[in-house]
Amino acid sequence: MNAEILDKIKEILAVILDVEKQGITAETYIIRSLGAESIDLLEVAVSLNSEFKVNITENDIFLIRLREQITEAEEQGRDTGKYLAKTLPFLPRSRIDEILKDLDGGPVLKVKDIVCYIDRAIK
Amino acid sequence: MQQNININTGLSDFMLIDRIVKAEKQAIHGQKTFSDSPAYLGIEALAQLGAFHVRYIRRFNCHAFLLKINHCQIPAHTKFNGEFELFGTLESRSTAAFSYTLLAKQNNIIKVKGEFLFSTVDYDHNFKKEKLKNHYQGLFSCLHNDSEKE
Repeated sequence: MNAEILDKIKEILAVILDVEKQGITAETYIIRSLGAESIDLLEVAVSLNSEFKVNITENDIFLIRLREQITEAEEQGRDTGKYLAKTLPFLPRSRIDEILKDLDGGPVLKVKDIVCYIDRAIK
Repeated sequence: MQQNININTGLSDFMLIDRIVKAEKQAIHGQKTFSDSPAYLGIEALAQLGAFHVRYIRRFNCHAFLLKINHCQIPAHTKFNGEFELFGTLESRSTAAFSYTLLAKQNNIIKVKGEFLFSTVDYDHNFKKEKLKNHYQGLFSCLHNDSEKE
């Protein structure tokens, strides 16, 4: 994982969500643990654009359509993991498998998902 | 049962931009002449200008609204009088969020300045396309054409 990108994302989240940067790791849940709301995520999106100069699409970076996409895969009789690997290409397959096991706990978005999105967008 | 609610803002209307002098991809310039107006109306004028720019760059295909104002400097105990130049610069954006520096100047002195965050939503049954698109596009055109004639 790109440590420099992670550090900048932690800084952005700390400022916008008014939390201690030291308490944020790659594994931190952004909505479930840090309490981010939709308005916060929009602010995070423009800050990421400003910091990294890459296009930010909220639906992708914040996994907003994740559950819809899972339903779409099921309705079409397709393998959910493969379907998500296509719709969310910035996430490694191991992370998609992790997400699919974690759905019952609430919003699955983690800091490392944003790092993956930015890392791919920069490349 | 339909019920009408009357709200008295104390203003004769709520359009706080007289002219849009220039609108470009990353910036917008407007004007407003205030008459003994409380300073907070300067903030509202800037918010209206920013929302116009968001609509303009999205070709009036969505509804735009103010989400948040950060670091806004405003003079205390001051009434606004006379002509103000209003400037907006799009600093960063995502698909649905737009961050601006907006400021109001009088005689080249900054009177209000802030970071404004706007968002957009698609038209739907609450934000009706046929009503809002025509309204804001027409208003923008009117304010912009008016300044082009001079």
